[in-house]
Formats: sequence, structure tokens, C-alpha cells
Amino acid sequence: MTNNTRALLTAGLSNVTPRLSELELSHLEKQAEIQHILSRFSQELNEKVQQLNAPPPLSPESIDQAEPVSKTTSVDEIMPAATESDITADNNPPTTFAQNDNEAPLEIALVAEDIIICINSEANTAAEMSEPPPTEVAVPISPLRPGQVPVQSAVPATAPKEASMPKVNFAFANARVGTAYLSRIDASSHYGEPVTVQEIKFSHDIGISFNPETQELYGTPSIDGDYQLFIKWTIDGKSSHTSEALMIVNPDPRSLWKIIEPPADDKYFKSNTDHQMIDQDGVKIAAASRRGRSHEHVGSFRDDDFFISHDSETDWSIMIVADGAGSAQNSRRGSQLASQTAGSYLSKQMQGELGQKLKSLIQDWQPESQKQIGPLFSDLYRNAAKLAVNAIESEAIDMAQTTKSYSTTLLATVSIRINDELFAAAFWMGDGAIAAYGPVGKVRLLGMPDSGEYAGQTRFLDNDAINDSSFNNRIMIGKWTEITHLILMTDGVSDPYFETDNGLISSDKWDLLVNEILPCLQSDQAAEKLTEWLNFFSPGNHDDRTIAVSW
Amino acid sequence: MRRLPVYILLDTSGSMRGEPIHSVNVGIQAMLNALKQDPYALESVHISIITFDNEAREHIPLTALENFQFTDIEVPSAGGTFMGAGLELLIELVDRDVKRSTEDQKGDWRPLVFLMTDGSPSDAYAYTQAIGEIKKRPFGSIIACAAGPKAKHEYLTQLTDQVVSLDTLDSTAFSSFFKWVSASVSIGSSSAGIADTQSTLPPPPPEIQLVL
Repeated sequence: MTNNTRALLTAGLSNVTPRLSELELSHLEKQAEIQHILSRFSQELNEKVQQLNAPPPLSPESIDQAEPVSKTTSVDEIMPAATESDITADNNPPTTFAQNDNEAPLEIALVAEDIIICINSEANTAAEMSEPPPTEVAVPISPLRPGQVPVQSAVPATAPKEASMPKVNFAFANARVGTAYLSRIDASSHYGEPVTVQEIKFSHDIGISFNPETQELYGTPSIDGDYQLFIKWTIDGKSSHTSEALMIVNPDPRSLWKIIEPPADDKYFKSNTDHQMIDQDGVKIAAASRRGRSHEHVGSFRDDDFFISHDSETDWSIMIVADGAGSAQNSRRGSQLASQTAGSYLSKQMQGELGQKLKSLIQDWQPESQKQIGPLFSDLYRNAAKLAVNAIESEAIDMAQTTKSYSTTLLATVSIRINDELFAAAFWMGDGAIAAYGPVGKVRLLGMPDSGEYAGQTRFLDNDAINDSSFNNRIMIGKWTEITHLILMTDGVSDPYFETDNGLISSDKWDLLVNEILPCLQSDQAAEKLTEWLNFFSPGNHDDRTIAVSW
Repeated sequence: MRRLPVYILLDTSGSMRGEPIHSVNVGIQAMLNALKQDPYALESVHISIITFDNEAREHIPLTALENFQFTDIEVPSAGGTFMGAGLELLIELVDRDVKRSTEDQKGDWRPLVFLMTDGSPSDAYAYTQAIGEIKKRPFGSIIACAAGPKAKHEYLTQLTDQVVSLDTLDSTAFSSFFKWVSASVSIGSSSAGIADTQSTLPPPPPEIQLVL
């Protein structure tokens, strides 16, 4: 005996409209009184059936029949099959109808002393079922004794009134709460005759109506759920029929986002937003980082991080953004370690001898000096990357975690403004974007994102990447005039704005982005404003977002 | 828009008749309702349902969750468990439907696969061959569910190391399985390294045992 409380409950309540939700059902299921009613029902029915039950003929077993048909069939095993038919007839998607005679809903009727259970099968009356179809559990009909009148099923499987009802399917689109809905009803009859829908009644007022003139459903639904439609239709214009269909109204995804705080006592606690502003000697740098909706929704942390610095003695600026892998448990710490470690190393180097040397080479900017700049940055970034990886590896050992669980991307620029020119050396490991923008309509992408064939695939900073012979391809240097903004961002910003690799090199898309952030940058609190701006809504793009801009 | 394709392969062999398939239908409906309450899923999940008995069929082609209209799955009166045919159809559909990144197009998330059977493959050779092809493809996760006492784990563990088992074929077991499926789906859309193979799954509810 399996526990079929739910099946019995569903069967017993199948005629209740509106249909009970899963939640309501499970609530009922748990009530002692309900359980009592159901167990009494199945017990009584069982006793009844067992009295009537002759040993059933054994059906030929199908290839992987799970269990042989038992000698005595308890109603507990019959009910689900019955329920199934019932549900099939009743819980139809907008294409089939319970009214259809081939799918007459099953009913259990008590006729004098006999119980007939017809299992819904095409045009088979119970009396015709001389033996159960293979693998189907059915109550065998006792052989007739002399003089006995064959029992008629209380519910003929073919209802004469509906016998002539043609088979018609109705199709229409699903709706969404708060979004204007317009869908023509696509009605198709089995033999291709044109079907006219005359009227549609709804189980609830959901904000949708039917226009018979246009044969369209229209309106703005106000509540989500699955609702029964009663469709009155005709083929010949004389006789009308009614069919049921289901209208699915989805919730508005924007209304579903929850904001759950991450655990305050976590070993790698990180604030949900972070921002920093530098405004020195005409150099302005703002960075902002914000937890994505997908993390807010489940109460996990922001995985992104950043580092910015400017040295007024030497004029060098450093900007770094890092995006911890969503699939890696400790990546929020990984992105923090990588950006801080690489950032402080780069700052220190640029304050020293190397910074001076590079500055004079850049000021000179002759072919000879240009040749020297590349290798110096190659070494510098390789060392920065090594230190970042080492910091992560040490942390992993210290905390008994895997290095992989700290996976992060790392995008960095070392830049300097000399007179009206901007020099920048960029390092790009992972997805996101680095670009030198300006004047309007012109953008220079400082590298290429690492992306795979499928969404969410990228490369993370690790020793393999550092030792790869193509490491230098991750570094790009240049000096340009009229650069108004140097911008770094994680994929939380670049995906919604640029979407594809071709999008990243489209100056129109960059114009749009810069236009959006200009008002923030003109404010006294540019970094705070950027943090607010990062909350923009873009369907399907809900990752953490981090941006660093120098202008 | 990046889609998260989810393929659900269901055994519709003869032994699934009656309560088991009814429970599966109820479970899928519950799964859809749960997913619709997840905003991320509502925007990105696309579902396809494949059934297999004596042959494999595309019960519902890959459709956005928002446009999904579930029709109850029915079990033919008798039929074997041609799981190999089911996997072959899966490969065909994934190759046809799933978008890869190009310069002009953002690829889909790597597809997730949930396979449920209450038996073992009748076409064992084809099944083994198909697994070879499956391994060449970048699935985000493949989760196999052995439902009931007759389901053979050893076949499923060839396909994936993520096998779960259900003791019974009733609605309690299936609805908890499909609820867990919806929780796993929500995890399928997080960034992962190019070399990464499997996503981590949420812990299963008590009705489900992880097969190690």
C-alpha cells in the first residue's frame, strides 16, 4: 500500500473550481480530519472491492513491468490511475477539453451493490472491458452468472449529447502580470472547419477580456496563476459548444526579486556596495561596486572588488576591477586579495625608479623608447599577477580551502596624463571590459575578453595563465590625445551594455554608456552616484557590477 | 538574452503507467510553479521535455519558461526503456537548439540535463554509444534519477557522477525530486571557468539519496 493521500484528495476535489493550488492541497493533506476521511473512504471502498474481486487474469508483462499484477487489487492502487484520468480530463492545458467524449471524466458511482470503475480509455465502456489492458491495474468484471443482467456503467463513456461535438483545440499566448496582453485565439478543429469563438467566461476576473469581433483576448492581467477559461464556440453558427482551457498568467519577474542580507558573521564578510573617489591635481578617479540582484535574491555576497590609487608626486594612476567567479565559494575573498595585492605592488613600483624611467620614456615616445616600454610592462604585470596568485594560494593553504575556490578575474590599468595626452598600459584577465574613450564616437578597446562558447565561461587568474606563452597578449599599451575617459568594468556592466564581442567595439554603444554615467561624474559625489546608477535594470543581467572611471 | 536550456528526459516505459506517471506530471507542474517564482529562472530558463519508451519523442520542444504550456505526459500501454534512443535525441536537440557564442551572438548557458528512469536501458549498446557522444558536449550538469526499486544505478553512473535515487514512485518522492530540480536549475546560471565541468548542486531533500 502506497501513501496516496494526495491522489485521493486531488480526485475528490477535482470538480472544485478554481483548482486548489499545490500549497492548499499540501495544507489539506496534513490535516488529521482530512486524512481520517480519506483513509476511511479507501478502507470502505477496499472492503467493497475485495468482496467483488475475482482473481484477475494475468496480463502479459511488458518488457520492464515493475510488478506483476497482484491477485487482489486494493483500491489504493486503482485510485491513482483513476485520478490520472481525471486530471487528464480536467487539468488540460489550453488545447484539450474535458467536454470531449473521448475523455469523459471518470466517476466512481455506487450502483446498488456493484461498483464499477471505468478507467478512461478511448470509447471503451466498462462493460466492454473483458480484461484489463496490459500493465494497467483495473478491477476485473466478474463473469456473468446465468440470468444476470450485464451491469451498465453509471456514466456511459459516450455522452450522447456531446457525441457530435467536434474536436477543437484553442491556442493562445501566456500572459504576464502588469504587461498589456493581446493574443488572438487560434482555434483549430480536427477537420479544419473554421471555428468561431462566441464568448469566453473566466473563473476569476483577472483583468483580461475577450473581443468576439477580433477573436482576441486582451487586457492587463493583475494577478498571476493558472485560470480556467470557459470558451463558447460554434462551427456552423447554429449549435454552440463549450470547452475549457487554461490561461497561464506569469508573475512579473521584476516583482519577485528579494533583497536578503548576507550573514554578518561570515569569515569573508563584504559590504553590499563599495565606492571610492580620488580628486587630486585635476585627476579624477571614481570606482563603484554593487552586489547583483541574483546575489541579493539568495542572500549571498558581492563577489566583485576594485582598487584605485593616484600618486600626486609622480602622476601615476592605478585602476583595477576584479570579478570573483560565481561558482567558486570563496571568490569574494579572491577578488579582494587579487586587486589589493596587485594594486599595492603596482602603486609601489610606479612610485619608485621604474615609474620615473617609464615616465621619461613615455614623454620621449620615439620608436627607440617605445620598444623599451613593452617589456617593462610585461615584467611588471607578470610580477603583479604572480603576487596576486601567491596571495590567493597562501590564503587557501591557511584556510584549508582549494585555490580554485578563490577564482577571480583581474582587469588593470596603469595610466598617466602628460599634457593633453593619456598613456595607459592595460592588463586583461577574464571577461568585462577596458577602454579608452574619446572624443565622442571613438573608442579603443584595450584588449579582448576571455570568453567561451557558452555564457558564463571565462578564464580566471592562475599560474597557467601567467606561464602561458601568450601572456603578453593580455597587455596593451598606448598614448592618445583627446581621451576623455579611461573605463574598466566587470561583466555585470559590460554584458547588459555590449552583450557580444562585436558590441564591445561598437562606438555607439560606448557613447550610450558614457552618456549614462556623465551626470554621475559631474556630481560632487561621483562615486556614490555611480553606485546608485549601477542598480539599473536589465532583464537576464543580474550579476555584481563594478566600474572604475578616470576622467 | 542568454538562455539557460534545461532538458528533462523522462522514462515512459510500461511500468510508469498509473501512479508513477501521474506523480511525475504533478511533480513537473510543481517544478514549473516553483521556477516561476524565481525571477532569474523566469527570464532565462528554457525547458524541453523528452520522453522515451520504445522510441524517444520530443514531448515539448525547447520553450521559454514564460511561454511554457505543459501538457500531461501519457504512457503507452506497453513499452521498453530505450534510454539510448532518448540520449541520441537529446544530442540531436542540443546540437540543434543551443546557441554558442560568436562575435555577434552571446551563447546560451551550458545546458542542464535531468534524466529520470524506473528501470534500465533496453538498448544497452546504443546507450553506451550515446554516452560517448554526450561526454564530448559541454553540459553544465547531468543529473540522473533512479526512481523506485528496479532502477539500476550502474547504468546511470556511466552517464554522470551525479545520480540520485528515489525509493518510491509516489507523488511525495517525485515532487521533492522536481522541487530539488528547480533549485538546481537556479544554480546553473553562474559563471564558471572554461575548464570547469560540473556545477555544484544544492543539498537534496531527505526523500532523495545521493548515489556515490
